[in-house]
Amino acid sequence: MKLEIEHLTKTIKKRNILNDISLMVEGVYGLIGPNGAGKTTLMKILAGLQTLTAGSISIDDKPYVHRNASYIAPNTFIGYLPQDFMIYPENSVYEALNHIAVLQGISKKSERQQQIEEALAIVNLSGQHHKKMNELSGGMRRRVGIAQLLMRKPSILLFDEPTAGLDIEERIRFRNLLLELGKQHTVVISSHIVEDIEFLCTKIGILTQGQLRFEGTPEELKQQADGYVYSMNVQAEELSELLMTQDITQINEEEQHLKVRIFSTEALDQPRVIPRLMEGYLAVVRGVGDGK
Amino acid sequence: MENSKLLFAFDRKSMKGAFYVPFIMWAVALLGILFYASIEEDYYTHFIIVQGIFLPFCSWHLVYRYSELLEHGAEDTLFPYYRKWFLYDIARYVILYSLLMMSLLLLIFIKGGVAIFDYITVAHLPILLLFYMFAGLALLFVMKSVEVTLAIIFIYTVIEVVTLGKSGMPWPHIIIFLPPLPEDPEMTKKFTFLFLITISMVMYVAKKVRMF
Repeated sequence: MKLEIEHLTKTIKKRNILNDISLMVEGVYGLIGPNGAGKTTLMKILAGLQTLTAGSISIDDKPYVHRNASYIAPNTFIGYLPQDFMIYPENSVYEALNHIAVLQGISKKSERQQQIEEALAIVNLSGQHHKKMNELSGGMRRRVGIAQLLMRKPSILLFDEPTAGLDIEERIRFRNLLLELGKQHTVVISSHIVEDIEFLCTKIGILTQGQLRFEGTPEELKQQADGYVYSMNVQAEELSELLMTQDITQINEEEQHLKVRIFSTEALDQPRVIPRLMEGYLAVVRGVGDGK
Repeated sequence: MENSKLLFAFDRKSMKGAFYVPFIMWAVALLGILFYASIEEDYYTHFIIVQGIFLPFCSWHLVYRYSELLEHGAEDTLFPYYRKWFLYDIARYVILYSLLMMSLLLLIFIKGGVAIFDYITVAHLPILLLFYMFAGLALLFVMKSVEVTLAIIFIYTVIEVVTLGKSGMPWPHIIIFLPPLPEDPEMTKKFTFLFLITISMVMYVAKKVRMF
C-alpha cells in the first residue's frame, strides 16, 4: 500500500511543528531526525491522534483528509505503535489482547482466540499468555503492542522509536521482527538510531525542525556525504584532541594505530572514503548535501 | 448483549474489588430505605438516601474504566477504541444504574405508595444520575487522577448531605432535601442549574472523546 502525504503543516500556537511536508511512503520507510524534529507529531497525525493544520493524506491515491477536516478520516489501514506502549498493567497478556479484540468488534470467542494465538505466534510470544502486562520487559511489551495491531490486520504499520530503550538482545529481536513485518506491510519507522534505519529501511526521510530535508533511498542518502568523509590513522594519544575538533563517525582499533573516519565540510589532507549512511545523515542535517 | 457481558466481565476483572463498591452502596441505600427511613416521620428521607448514598457512586465505574487512558503509553493505543465504544459504554452503565435506581424507587413505592412520589423528584433523579456519571468523567479528564476525581465527588456529596444543602459553600446545591413545591423559585433555580451543568458536562466529555 502506498501512503502519500502532501504539503502537510501542523501549527501549534503560531509555531510550525511540521512545515509543508510531502512524503511518498512505500516499502519500509525510515523517518529520521533529531529529537524535536516533528517525527512523533507526524506519526500521530497519520494515526488520527492529532490534528493537522493543512495538507492532504492519501492511501493508494484515495484521499483520507477531506476538505476542512482536522483529523485523518478513521480507517482500518493504519496501525500505530507508540514509543511507550502499555495497556492494562494489572491484566494478563491474554486478557488485554482479548479485550482489545472485543473492542475491535470480534465478538466470537473462537475467532478471538484464533486471532490472539496467530498474532502472538508472529511476535514470538506464544508461551507468554498468562504473564501480567506489568511483568513484561520493554521489548516484550512492544511485541504485545504489535500483536494487538496485527489483530486489526492493518496494511500500514507506524512504529515510533521502536528500539529506543531496549537492550541489545531485545533490539536485535525486535529489528528482525520489523524486517519480517516489512515483507507484508508498508512500514514507517521513526527513529534517531541511524543503524536501525540502515538495517531496515528501503526509503528514508530526514526531518529537522519540522521540515523535510531529504527523501530517497539509503544509497542516495550516502551520496549526500560524497567528498566529505575522510579516513585517517592516528595514535591513541592524538584521539582526544581530534575528537574535540572533528566529527569522528567511526573508530577502528588496528595493530599500530587507530583508524578513524571523519566527516568534515572543510577539505582535509587525508584520503577520501566512500560515505556511510550516518555520514549522509550528517551531511543533510548540516545542510551540505543537495537534499531531495 | 454478548458485547455487554464481555465488557462488564473485563471491567470486573480489571477493577477487582473496586467494581463492587457501587453495588455495596446500592445495598446500603436499600437497607437504609428498609430499616432507617420512616414514612410517618419524614418520608423524603427515602429520596435523600437515593440521592446521597447511591447516585454519587454512579460516577464510579466509568471513572475507573476511562482512567485506563491515563496509563503512560496507553492513550494512543486505547483512545480510538474507547472513542468507538463511548456511547455503548455510557448506555450500558446508564441502563445498569437506572435498573438499580428503579429497584430502590420500587421499594419506596412498596413502603409508601404512589402518594409520596412527586413529578419534580421523579424528573430530578435521572438527571442527577447523568450528572454524576458525566461529572466523574469530566473531572477525570481535567484532573487526570482517579483518586482526586472521586475525592472531589465524595467530599462534595458528604458535605451537602451532612449539612442538608446548607453548608454555605460557594458551589451549586443540586440535591433536593425537602419535598419540592412546584412554585418554589429555589427549586426552579436548582433544577435549571442541574440541567445546564449536566448538559455542559456531557458536551465537555463528548468533545474530549471527539464525538463531534
